[in-house]
Amino acid sequence: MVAATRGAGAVVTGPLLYNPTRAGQGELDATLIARRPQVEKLLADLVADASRATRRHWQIVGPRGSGKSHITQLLALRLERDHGWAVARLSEEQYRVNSLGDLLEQIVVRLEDTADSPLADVSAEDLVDRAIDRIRAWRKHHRKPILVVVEDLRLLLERKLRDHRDHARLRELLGRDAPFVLVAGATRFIDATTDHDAPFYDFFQTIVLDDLSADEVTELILARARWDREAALLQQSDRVGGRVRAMYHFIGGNPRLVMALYGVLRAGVTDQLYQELLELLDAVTPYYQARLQDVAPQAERVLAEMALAGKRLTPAVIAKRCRMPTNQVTALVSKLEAERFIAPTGRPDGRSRYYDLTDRLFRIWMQMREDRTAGHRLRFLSDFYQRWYAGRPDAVDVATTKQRGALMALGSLGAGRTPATEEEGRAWLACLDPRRASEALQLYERLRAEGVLVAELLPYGAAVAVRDDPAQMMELSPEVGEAVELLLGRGAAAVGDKPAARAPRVAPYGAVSSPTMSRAAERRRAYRGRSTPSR
Amino acid sequence: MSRARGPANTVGSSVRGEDLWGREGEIAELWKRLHRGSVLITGPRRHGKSSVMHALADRPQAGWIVEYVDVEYVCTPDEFLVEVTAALLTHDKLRRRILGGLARGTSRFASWVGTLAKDVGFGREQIGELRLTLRDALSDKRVWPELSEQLLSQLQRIEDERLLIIIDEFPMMIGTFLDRDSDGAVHFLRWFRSIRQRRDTGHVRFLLGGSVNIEPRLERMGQQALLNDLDRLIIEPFPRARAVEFVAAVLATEGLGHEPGVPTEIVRVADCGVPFFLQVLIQECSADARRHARTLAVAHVEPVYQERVLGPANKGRFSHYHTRLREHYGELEELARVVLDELVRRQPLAVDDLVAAIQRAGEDRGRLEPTLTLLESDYYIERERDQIRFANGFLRSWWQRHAARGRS
Repeated sequence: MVAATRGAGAVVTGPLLYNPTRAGQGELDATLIARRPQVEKLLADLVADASRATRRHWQIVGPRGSGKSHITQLLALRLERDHGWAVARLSEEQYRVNSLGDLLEQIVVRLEDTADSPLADVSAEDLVDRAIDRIRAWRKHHRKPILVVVEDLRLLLERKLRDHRDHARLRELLGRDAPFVLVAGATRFIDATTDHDAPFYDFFQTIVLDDLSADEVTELILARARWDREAALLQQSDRVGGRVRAMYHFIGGNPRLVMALYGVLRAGVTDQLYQELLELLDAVTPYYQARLQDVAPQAERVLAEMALAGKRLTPAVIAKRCRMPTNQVTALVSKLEAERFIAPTGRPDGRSRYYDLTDRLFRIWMQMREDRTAGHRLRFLSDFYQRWYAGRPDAVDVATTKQRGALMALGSLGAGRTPATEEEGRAWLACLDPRRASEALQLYERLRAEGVLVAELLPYGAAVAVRDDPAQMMELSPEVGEAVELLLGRGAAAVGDKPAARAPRVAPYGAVSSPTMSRAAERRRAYRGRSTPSR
Repeated sequence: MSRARGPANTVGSSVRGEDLWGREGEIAELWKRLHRGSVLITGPRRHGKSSVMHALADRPQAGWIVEYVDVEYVCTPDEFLVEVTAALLTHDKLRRRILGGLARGTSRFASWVGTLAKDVGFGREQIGELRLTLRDALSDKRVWPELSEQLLSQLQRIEDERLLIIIDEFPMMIGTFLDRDSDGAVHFLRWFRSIRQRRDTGHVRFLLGGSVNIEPRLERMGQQALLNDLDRLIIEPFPRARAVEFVAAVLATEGLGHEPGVPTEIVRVADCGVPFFLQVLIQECSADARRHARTLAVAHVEPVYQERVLGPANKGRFSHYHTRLREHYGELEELARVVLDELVRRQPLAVDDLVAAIQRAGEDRGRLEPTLTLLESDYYIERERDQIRFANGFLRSWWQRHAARGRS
């Protein structure tokens, strides 16, 4: 991806998706959403630490695309500009690092800003000590604190520096009289920092990055639009808010995916959420394909099966579905968990541990590629969310007219004018404003009872099932479960819902149910398998 | 950007200066014991052992010279000698004594250290060069005992002061020695004990500390006597009232607005006085308050603990509690899990109660004692007479949430 160039009329090939290190401080500052308190605190701590005896080193933990590079780059620029620090930022892939000596040499190269290493002639045995002396001498001469930025701590500690001795030596170096402060990104807590016997056991000061909330996603898209001077997008900020809230159910709050969504929305917010979702899936295809390149074929098979199931599974069930030995699947599940593709979601039966995909858009992406019926389901679900969050008065007027027609036809059901086709029944349903949830569900049940609808339709069928048996909620994927919550009138705040920017002027079916946060939050906890121990 | 003076919320790494809080008693006790002999400082990881050792190095008592070395990456006794010698030579007074005596000497040590060229610097910025020069000049690595003896002999010249050599991560180094050459490691430990016990090295003291407990391993080898001469000092968690004061001090340094009852609530919720666990909770409470731009209230603490500290965000951080049993306990793993599950249900438990529980689980009661010993040496549990309980409340909560069977 290419960084966006600021200014109307400039050639813009896409939002800044993968490389914040090419952005300037103004851009990074303007598009820093939700993380600002953490950045300001970290900056204050780094500056304060420079005059204290204690040396703290930091890891920023968050999944891919959560904004780690954005934060470290902004920190680096501000420390250089405002506080006179020197910054050595190692390349993301660390191609030239295969030992602690290599790592320190790369820091020297960056500090001295040379093309060739001044330590090129030093032997491997002597490199660590020579490089340490050189870094200390540089710091003493320039009288500047040094920040070293490592993009991927896992890559460094688990693939580049595989020798325990290197870990121990680096930890010793970062301890008393550390010549530099290390700030590193990590997609998860890695064994090298959590293993009780490891030199870096709980060594780093840790900042965990959460997904953005729906409000923060909207804020990020509008902030990006302001920076890119996307006047058309900014002029319809109300519609953007509604669309983002609908999309949030499909993509979650990962900033990288939000930027992909921004790339779709900047072409204009249309009345076709489903089409926009398809465009988004196209946009993220190279990203997901690249991620899957690192996954073994058997693990890919496990991922596909979990995605297509659309619900949580145990390793034993996955093994059966994949026709693979359970122990092999268990090992693959562990690897996929380490890669953050999947996460354990608890043990609702008190025995087996269930797993689910961590990235809901990835699950949809996989379903769309492997399941011919997925598009059908996705269309219904996206249609539901689009209408739930519709904020345009003109659209509501049209819908209301249709709703009246649908109701009239519904009234005729009992008068012997039963609709002839399932298609007609679906059409009626599609006309209903889902925010008139109780009426929508009544109509749905009646159409099913009359035999007009011969198949369960998302999310109405699921909502009826859950209403009758709350345990059914455990069987639903998050995006379906959240739609059910909305229909049952209890999910709004927890799933990022807010009333549409402009309420419908006509309310033919009565009042909207009041959402409550707590029950939805409970459901989310239950879905993820979090249980609250009694204390 | 200025911060109030006091302990910053340092979660994990060792602290120095004003960030060390509430360990004055341990430090005073250490100095007292060091007057009598060398000391081994023990305690679970992240209880503050290294921080206390740094405090001794940073503010030596009158009449003491202190040098600190971290030796976790040291793999052989000759490397150990190089590390210690290089560290001592960076100290002006020690260097004068060591090198001053060499002018009249013809020992092997004099030849070795005499190879240091005049242009070799002795400052901290040149310690790499110093280390390399000493390493390269040590052509015969087997002579480390002789060189060490002669180094100690040089140190005898410091008659008016005592010398304290702090060796951090000593057990880790010994573990590496044992992995590489068991007999050589035992030889080193015997030699090291002998110099600690000799009268002519009476004013040189060693303070040893580290992250792991090497003694069970030595015990299995029948070599537990090799460290028996050392006085032990255990770094304990803060008592409850002290823990509350500590939390209040950290919150003040961090400049985080909070209700008056927050420090007490943090200690109540974390249910332990281990600074590390308290600081993890403080950090999450602080992040939560800043994100929501609000004052930290008493009512926020428990939800943050449940959702953030024990929840998915930090699950991986503490997963070693779970995986360690699988990786290191072998045939005792299942029994260890039964014990911890029972303690989740009820604690403290008498050994007899545990016997009944493990028999219900179909486990061999003969393995209970070695399992308890292992759990205790790994700081999962603590025993007071016959009563057994989790070593701290945080660990119990974590186990209950993530590892206990039948209660997901």
